[in-house]
Amino acid sequence: MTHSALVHWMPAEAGGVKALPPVLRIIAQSLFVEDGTKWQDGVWSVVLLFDRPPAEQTDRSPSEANVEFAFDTAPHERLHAGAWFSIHYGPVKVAEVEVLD
Amino acid sequence: MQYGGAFLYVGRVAGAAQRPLEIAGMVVTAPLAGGMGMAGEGINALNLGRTFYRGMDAVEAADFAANGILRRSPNGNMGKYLTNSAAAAEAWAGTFGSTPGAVARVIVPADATSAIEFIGRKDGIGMAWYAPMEALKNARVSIVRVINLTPK
Repeated sequence: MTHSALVHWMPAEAGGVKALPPVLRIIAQSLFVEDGTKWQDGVWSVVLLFDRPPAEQTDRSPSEANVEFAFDTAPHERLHAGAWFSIHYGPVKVAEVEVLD
Repeated sequence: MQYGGAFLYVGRVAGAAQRPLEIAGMVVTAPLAGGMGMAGEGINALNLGRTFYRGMDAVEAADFAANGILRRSPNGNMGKYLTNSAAAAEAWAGTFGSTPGAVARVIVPADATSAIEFIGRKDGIGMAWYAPMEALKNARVSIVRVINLTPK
């Protein structure tokens, strides 16, 4: 199930990606609050879909996106209005995601 | 370029392969399923590197076939996810709503393996590691299974 979300990009100086993605879809590994501060033995990929490439933004303001887990067997109950999680490329924290609905 | 079966292409991530790693070319004759096979084990025993697998979608597989190198994804990701079996790699190759492309064997030189981060079990499929592109620059990459090299 797809949810609306806001993607809050990490500043590059804080270790985020140097440039926002120039694509309409990204896939990243998720880390939820309930996971603690590091990945547990069960990481799930999420798919973020954008209406326009984030790279077209003039700043790192939050990007509107639709988000869903990449796999049917993922813990979908974690995605609900008010939920927050972070997305990562390997060890690099890319953004924090706020689920809106 | 035609691709009629497995073990069709041997490439690398970037730059010339280190001379000792030329033995890694043997890996193209290694068994496909499951573990790394005799050649890969021999390479590990010689401390020449560590064997991983990567599932590619059709876009990435076609790009690799055309260029002979693994290149950065346009999504800003500065590395590649790897796994430890061809079966798991194949499962990932066909996910994320894209057309499955190929399974690649990636032999990372011993001196680069410390930069590779173990992620853990991922997506209910298998174990995953994350390799920054710098760690892959002298890796030996070979396609061990072609699924589809025609991106839709």
